[in-house]
Amino acid sequence: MKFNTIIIGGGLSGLTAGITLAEQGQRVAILATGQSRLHFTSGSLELLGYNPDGSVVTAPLQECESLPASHPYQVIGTQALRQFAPHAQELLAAAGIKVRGNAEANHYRISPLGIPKPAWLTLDDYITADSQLSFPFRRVLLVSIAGYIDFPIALLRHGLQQCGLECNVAEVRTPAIENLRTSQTEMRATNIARILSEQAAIDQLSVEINRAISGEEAILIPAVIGIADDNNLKYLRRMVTRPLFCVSTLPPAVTGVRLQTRLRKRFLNLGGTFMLGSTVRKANFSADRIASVTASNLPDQKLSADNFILATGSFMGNGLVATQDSIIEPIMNLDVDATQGRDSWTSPRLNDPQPYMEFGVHTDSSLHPAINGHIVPNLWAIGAVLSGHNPISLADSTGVDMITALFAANDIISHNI
Amino acid sequence: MSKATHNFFISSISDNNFEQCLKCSICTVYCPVSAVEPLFPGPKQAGPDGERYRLKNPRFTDDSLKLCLNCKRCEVACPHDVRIGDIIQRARLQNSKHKPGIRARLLASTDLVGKIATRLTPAFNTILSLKTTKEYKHRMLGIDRHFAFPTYARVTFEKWFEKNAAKKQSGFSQQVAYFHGCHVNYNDTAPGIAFVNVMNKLGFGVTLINDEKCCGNPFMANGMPQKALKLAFHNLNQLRLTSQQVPIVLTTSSTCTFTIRDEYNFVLGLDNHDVRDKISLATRFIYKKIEDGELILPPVKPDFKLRIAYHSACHMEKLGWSFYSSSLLRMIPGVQLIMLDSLCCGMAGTYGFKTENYRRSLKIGEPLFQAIREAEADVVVTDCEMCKQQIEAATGARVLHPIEVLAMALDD
Amino acid sequence: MSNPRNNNSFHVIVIGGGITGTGVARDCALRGLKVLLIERYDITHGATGRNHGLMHSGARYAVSDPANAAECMAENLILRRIARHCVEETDGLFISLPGDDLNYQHRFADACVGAGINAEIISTREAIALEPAVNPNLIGAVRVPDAAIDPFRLTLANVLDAEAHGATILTHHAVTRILTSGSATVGVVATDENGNRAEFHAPVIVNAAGIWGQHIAQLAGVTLNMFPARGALLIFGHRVNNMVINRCRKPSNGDILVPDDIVCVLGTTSDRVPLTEIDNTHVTNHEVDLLLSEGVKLVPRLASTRILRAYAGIRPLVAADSAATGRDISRGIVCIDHALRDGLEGFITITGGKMMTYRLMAQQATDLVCKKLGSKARCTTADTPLPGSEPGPETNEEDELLQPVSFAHRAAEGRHGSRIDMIHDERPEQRALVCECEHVSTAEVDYAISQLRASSLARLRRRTRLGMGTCQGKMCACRAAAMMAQRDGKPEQHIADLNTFLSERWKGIRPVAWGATLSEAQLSALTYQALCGTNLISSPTPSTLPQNEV
Repeated sequence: MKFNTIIIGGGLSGLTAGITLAEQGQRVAILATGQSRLHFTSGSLELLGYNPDGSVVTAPLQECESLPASHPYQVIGTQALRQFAPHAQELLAAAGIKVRGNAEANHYRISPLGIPKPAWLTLDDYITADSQLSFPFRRVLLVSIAGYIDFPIALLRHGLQQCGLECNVAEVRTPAIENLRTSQTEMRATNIARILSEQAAIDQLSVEINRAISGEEAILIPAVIGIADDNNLKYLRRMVTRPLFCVSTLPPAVTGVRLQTRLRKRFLNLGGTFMLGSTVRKANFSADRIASVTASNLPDQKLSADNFILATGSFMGNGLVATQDSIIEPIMNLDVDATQGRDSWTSPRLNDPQPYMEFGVHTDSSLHPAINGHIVPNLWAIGAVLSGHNPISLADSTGVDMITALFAANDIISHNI
Repeated sequence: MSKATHNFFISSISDNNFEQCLKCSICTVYCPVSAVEPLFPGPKQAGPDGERYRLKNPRFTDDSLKLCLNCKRCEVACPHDVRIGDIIQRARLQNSKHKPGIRARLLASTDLVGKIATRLTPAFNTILSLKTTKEYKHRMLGIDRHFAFPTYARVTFEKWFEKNAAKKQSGFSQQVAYFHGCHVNYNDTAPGIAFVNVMNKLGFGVTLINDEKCCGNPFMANGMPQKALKLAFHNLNQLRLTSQQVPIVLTTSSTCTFTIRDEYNFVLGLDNHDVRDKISLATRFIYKKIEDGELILPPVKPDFKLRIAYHSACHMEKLGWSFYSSSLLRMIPGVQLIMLDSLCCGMAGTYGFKTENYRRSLKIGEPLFQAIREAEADVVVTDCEMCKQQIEAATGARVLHPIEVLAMALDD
Repeated sequence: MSNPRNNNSFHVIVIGGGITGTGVARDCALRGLKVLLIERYDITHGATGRNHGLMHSGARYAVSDPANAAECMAENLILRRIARHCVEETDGLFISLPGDDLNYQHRFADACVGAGINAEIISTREAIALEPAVNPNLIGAVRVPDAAIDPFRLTLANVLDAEAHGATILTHHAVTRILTSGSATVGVVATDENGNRAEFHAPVIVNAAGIWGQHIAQLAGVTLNMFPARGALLIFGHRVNNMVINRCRKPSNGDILVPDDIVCVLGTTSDRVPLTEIDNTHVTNHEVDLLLSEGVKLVPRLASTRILRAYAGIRPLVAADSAATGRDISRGIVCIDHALRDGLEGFITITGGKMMTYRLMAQQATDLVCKKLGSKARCTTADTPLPGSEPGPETNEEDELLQPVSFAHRAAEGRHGSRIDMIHDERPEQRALVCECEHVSTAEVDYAISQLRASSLARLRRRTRLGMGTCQGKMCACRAAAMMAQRDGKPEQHIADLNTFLSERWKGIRPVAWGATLSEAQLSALTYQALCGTNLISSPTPSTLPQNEV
């Protein structure tokens, strides 16, 4: 199998790069072990939420200038950030994902515990607050679904009250959802969403919500609607008597699955090949360039391409592997930025920035990784596998995913013209 | 260029494989059963989570494991290569205390029932379609009355081959062996006949496996590991013997292929490594030959036009081979290919036959059926014979095997 | 025997909520005394919650300390009767590996028989058949009646029975003063975590504070020289063995692997630490690597098994000499009547011993208490089953096929024994799993909150195993915190508690954070910190961080 570009990893960064390349007419294959980190997302994307000193970032495009030189934004140049941030939004829109927000100024998303966190883009149907942390309403009805325990309602309510909202709670139950309650484990957001993919189930839900409404100005529901698209969510919004917004739940995240589904569909519609269940185990080199890769489930198939993109993620995506005493990039043994000695990987206090979060593949300014100091010229590393960023202390992960993906894809296109 | 070779993936093939589970619950999102059946605790719970308790005490094996379709979609979705489906199937086979009843034996014994039935066709088909028979099966055997049990062929594929094809095969310089599977032999010989015709047109003679028996998958699915083991031993030996003469063994059934390649090892614990890579689906073989420039697709009929909706069966997804079948179809001039979202049809071998599963089975398949209705294709194409059965019954669509499409296109 | 006058007056005050203290409290209560037990944190917070969960047959001490070994064996048989739901009768193997002295094996087996322990030399083939996880290169094996015991359940059962017989259990109170009158102790001052003080009076005080007993003795003005011997242990993600596996040699590092419920625990190290370090239970990488390299020799499969966490406890040994490690110090029971030793009336110290012999320790201490109070009540603890272990109908394993709904019920039955009847899971939503790794249902959490005073996640964990499994609380901690907030209406407290709980889990994960354990920690951080924002909740200060435990 011969492609222009093979992307290893099918999460946000891999799909972003794949879509961008396929849009330019490239023959692209994405090889993914399994489903991605998008399944744990919040309904928002973050470019840069906090400065290294912990203070909240209000203007990401400006404040990214003060990031250390090792941060991917600095590695590719903050100009690239300015250039590609709007592209990210367009790419999402083309995939049928409507978002609010921009890279000039952060807004706030609301976490499942009711804690506000700075965000870049938020799905249109989610609750947000502006940069002053003010909401367009004050009295809200917080809807919980009976028996659904991945929506910590008592804690969320407290959090929303801390944000200045008056918050009434209504527990609803509908016949369609009731059946799922007999499961001891599977009353998860995504399974509720499957039930609510039928319009009749939405009708039942809207009746219950409207019954619970009294003087509130808005309705907040757990994000359990819309696994493939947001049609039924739109329908519910029409059926209820107040503006309705979603609050993210504990994983698995319905909106994350929707993001993944829509981006993948967009990629397939552009002619891309998406191979799920294919773990890349090995890269075959010809001189200093990668000629092909081999996947676990196709051991006798050489998957060749002119360009390769590594979008395998961090430790939890197996893009990095920690052995008892070292940090390794497992496919090609690429050079990684990591500290020596297990003691130094972590910080004793959980909430302090954890050094291991910033470990990753070391690249040059074009995102080319190296092996023993020798650059691999037809390989680009993007997203969480890169070193120098921190999804928690900097709140930059989805931004790094998309911006580095767009950067690499454009670099590939410009070299292949 | 290269540093010392290393293999960090070694742990993924250890007995401790389920330890890699990060409890991320992604598998639960893609389980076709737990979405419609609250009694199934889902792949995470039935698999890695339950396994920890079963290691303490096999009493923690419960009947709900039976609700698993063995579609392996959990494994395909898992970001950490945990063999969730295998864990569930192994637990079910190792700890099942139920003695399989008549129905399980009947459904599993595709070979035996097939042998009797084909001798008695068409009487058997008539009996199968009788209302009273359906009622009997439903009440006494628990085979759902709504279900159109596969009809049986008048002449088995093996008989057809012996009579119509066997003689001329030695005239080809290149040879492939063919593991046809029970369904082709007893129920639907068309893909088998198409396979022989296509291979001959491509310049390959076809040899059958000496004394081929059922791959054993239905016995695993119906809780009879000993029977499955016996068949697996037999087939592995026969395949070894055959491959000494003809090193390439091709198939047209994705499930038989998957069973021999993966389930023999992962579920039954047999060493099949010497046989595994010799077995391939015909579509994959042909695609690779063309890709490698060793084969040129002969010209197709000039007026050939077909709008195809391709359904990637569960086990094709697990094999990762849908690419080959769909790419081969794309190579055929006149084919317009629509890739359906890969979703389970709900049949899962014999699962959908059972009265207690029938409704659930259709419910599982509904999103796929909906997509098929919307696709407005001339035919649905799939590599799995049981998906074909279910899709035809549920949607009325005509369903073909990719090799049948190729045979149609090449027909002169 | 005088009657206590008011709510702050008791017959006896027991200091320490470990297995010894709760055992004493139960024995005293069963003998009709009015008891107050005071614990600085929660029950099982000290060494009780930081050991192997090994129910010794005594074999381990047969060679070095036959009297103690015989004591262990006798108590072993008693616990099998009175604490059925806390005990798993696994049996154990003492294996010899290439290079080990087989003469020692014979000495060992003889010593066992001498101490009344039913030890039997078996063939290596038989050993492998009995326990397939064992190192296949073993050169000898002895089968002994070791077992596994759950220290949390055992302690909780003692608390429940003590309370049922009128005892008062006061947790999260530190004894900050011992009140004396003349040459007798008469009571204590206890201070809670917010600095509030209260006085309690009793003619007898039992110091059962384990390694912290030296400090308590100091408060009473007497000397007690403890020998802090620290032991580190590793918890693996699942059971790789179904029998206790010991190395048949002089006790050393990493030579016991115990199957505990659905995990297994490898231990231990033994190092003397200064008394100032007894609250530091941080496990070093060196300890982890040492344990692992030794453990792999016992069971090679451990090399590819995920480690969930590391923890350490301090053995309350009584100083005998200047031994470097404490391995040579007797595990015998030390019951001190300070009236005889120091001329301090009313003050008793019960220490030394082992978890295994806690009941006997409690009996000896209570006998002394009764003697001082002039009570003639006899000890009944050897025959009275603990709550949860009352005789019940035997379940028939043969025709039992579990229904999916009863999976969590069965797991809970393993944890609570016959008290399972108090867990109401009749309605479907009560069967919903809060902790998926350990199969803790909503019903069980409700039971723990309402019946076992599980007011924080850490207390809930010790009473149910919630958060002890593979993911170390990734989903369940938040679910349970929300349930608690729902029930007591104190969300602010439970959000902070969630952060505290996660921080405590991290302490045990950190020394073993590589491989899947590190990946899991990253996923957990993304869930709790990136998604939920728990890192933005005001951080607990280090001094109030609870210690890491099993």
